[in-house]
Amino acid sequence: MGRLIYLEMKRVVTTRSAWALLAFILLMSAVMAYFPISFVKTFDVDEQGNLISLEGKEAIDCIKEKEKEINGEITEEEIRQAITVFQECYREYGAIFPPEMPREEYVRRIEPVYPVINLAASVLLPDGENIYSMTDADLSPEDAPRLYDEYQERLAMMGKSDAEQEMVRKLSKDIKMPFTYISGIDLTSFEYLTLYALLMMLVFVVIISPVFSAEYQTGADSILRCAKYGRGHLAAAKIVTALAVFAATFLIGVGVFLLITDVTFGTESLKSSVQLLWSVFVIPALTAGQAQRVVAAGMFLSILATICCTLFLSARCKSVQDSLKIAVLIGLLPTIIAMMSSTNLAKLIRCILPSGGLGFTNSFLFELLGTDFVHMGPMVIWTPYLIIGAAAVEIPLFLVLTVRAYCRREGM
Amino acid sequence: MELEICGITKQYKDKCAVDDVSLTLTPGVWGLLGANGAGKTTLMRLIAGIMRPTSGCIRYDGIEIDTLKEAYRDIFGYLPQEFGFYPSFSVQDYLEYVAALKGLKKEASHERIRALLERVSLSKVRDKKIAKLSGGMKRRVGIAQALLNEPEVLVLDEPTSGLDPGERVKFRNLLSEFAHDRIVLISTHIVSDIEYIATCNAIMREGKIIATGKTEELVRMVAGKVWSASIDGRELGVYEHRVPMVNVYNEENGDVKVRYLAETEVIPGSKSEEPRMEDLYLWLFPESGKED
Repeated sequence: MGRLIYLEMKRVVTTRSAWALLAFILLMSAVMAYFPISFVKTFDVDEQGNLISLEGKEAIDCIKEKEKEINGEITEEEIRQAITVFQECYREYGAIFPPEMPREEYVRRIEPVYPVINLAASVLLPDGENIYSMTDADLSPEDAPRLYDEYQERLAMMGKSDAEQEMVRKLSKDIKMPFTYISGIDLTSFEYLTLYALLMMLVFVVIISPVFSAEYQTGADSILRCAKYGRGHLAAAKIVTALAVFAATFLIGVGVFLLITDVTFGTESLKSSVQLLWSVFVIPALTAGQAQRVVAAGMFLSILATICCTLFLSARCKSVQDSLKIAVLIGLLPTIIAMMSSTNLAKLIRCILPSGGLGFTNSFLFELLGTDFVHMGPMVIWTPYLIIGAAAVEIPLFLVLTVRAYCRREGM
Repeated sequence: MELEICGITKQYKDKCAVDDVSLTLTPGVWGLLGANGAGKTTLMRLIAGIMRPTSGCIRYDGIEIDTLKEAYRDIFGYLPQEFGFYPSFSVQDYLEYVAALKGLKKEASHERIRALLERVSLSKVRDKKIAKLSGGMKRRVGIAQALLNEPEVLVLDEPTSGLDPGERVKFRNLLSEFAHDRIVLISTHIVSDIEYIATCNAIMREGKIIATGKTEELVRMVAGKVWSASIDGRELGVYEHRVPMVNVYNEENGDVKVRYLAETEVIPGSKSEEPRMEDLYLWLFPESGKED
């Protein structure tokens, strides 16, 4: 079996198209990591008092320098000070954003405490108000002591039904308060990571689709399936090879991506509470670093499930074109469904599809940071759990079906 | 050693490709003859176990091949009529790959591949990509892979198509040596291949085996029906419509020497000839000798 896997691996890596696609996807990891870094923009005031525009790594370093005073736990005192700054600025300029407030002043006074003002506004403002519409009357430094209590009360009210509220309670019970904020990481990089995962899924669908179907199409399988180990053993060797190539590519590709983004944004910032980076009402108790690992694991499972489904299609379809077309459709179906409908049934279908955790607006990241639930009779399931659960069932199921389909296939 | 085909039928939606075929193959070279669409390839694929019969079974030494599974494939070699290679593989890579699938140990497979490449005259191109080989060379790679595990049952579908006459002779010799104590089944349109090496033949028409026997036994079916005559070239058209022509040869004086099949003499002055397999083939499948 070991020799078969070695020879199959040799066959795959000496195929020019497979090489080109693997090189492309590895190159794209660096390109996709560069985008969220290049998109970071900020302003600073130089020694002469002039406003200067910064981008990329310079902007990241500048933001980290500006926000260094609030690094660490966001305590009551820091909340009080931030709200005080907000009130002073609002009373002075009638707003806290440019153009009403001079940009130099915004950069100097608001930006260093902006994450805390945003936290206070998200939790303490009444419904219908937000950070852009609030006035100095809406937020007072005296509100600071009740921020975390108010937060917990609002968290407890999340969910559209008792079952959903119970689920939110369970998921959020370990959220650590006070929140921690360490300037640096931008969750936009996570979004690019999910786009990279979508791209990797499509590349692997192209690489995997011909694994069995190309042999049916060319008739190569007639010889192979007559050999002693040409059925179950060969199918297993092909599957192990495909999964090993994927796992290695994923580890290298995602590893390179995270290495570039984490080092550039600052690994220390991965200790920040995810509630301060995305939305304060994100329900799982995670730091940015933990969220990154969970998202990577969710994407890995989703791509793996899609690959296993593609292997099955390849073992079933008699031509590469057929298996490729169906696999691409299944790969993109969750995205299409998410664009078309958000009903309970639509959510259920897109989450249980093999590629349920991959897409533009429906990726595992958005499900993890969102509060979507699927109702199945009396059961309420948080969508990330459904995606992982479905993938965990589908992966072995499709692998067994692949071997079965290949072994039982009847040549024409 | 015996391969027993017992009442095997393969029914497609609208066609019965193999119709209740029973045949017992014993050691030696067996020729499988039949026109296009007679069901030869389907029968071979059924014997190879890559197609399941609608009814009937195939037994090797009394045990059904479906029961033997791996053990049957271990003693089996197959060259399909059409087959694909991995384009990225060299001849050596491909044969190593198939050898591993056939369960040959690494060292043993290297030696076996070396010897086989020598036999099929491919040693010089062992490191060449298969995709870049000529049709005849690809066919020889196919023959080599079928022989890798020194199979007890060897099934070759059109093994000599694409081979030049010299290669065909070498292949026939190779097969004759190989066939001692082994069952070799060959289907081919090149009747002379079978005529030279087949110890027994089976003839298929419309999914059925219509005759089996040694070459000399089978050709007796057309004994007294093979004639030759010399006619004026202008008369050829007339006779072509009346009798199946096995051979037409233009002579220098404008006459045409013909070999034809008929129950009785049709062309005055005809001479009775010794029958050959080609005559039998055309007698049984007259449509294959007609022009469209």
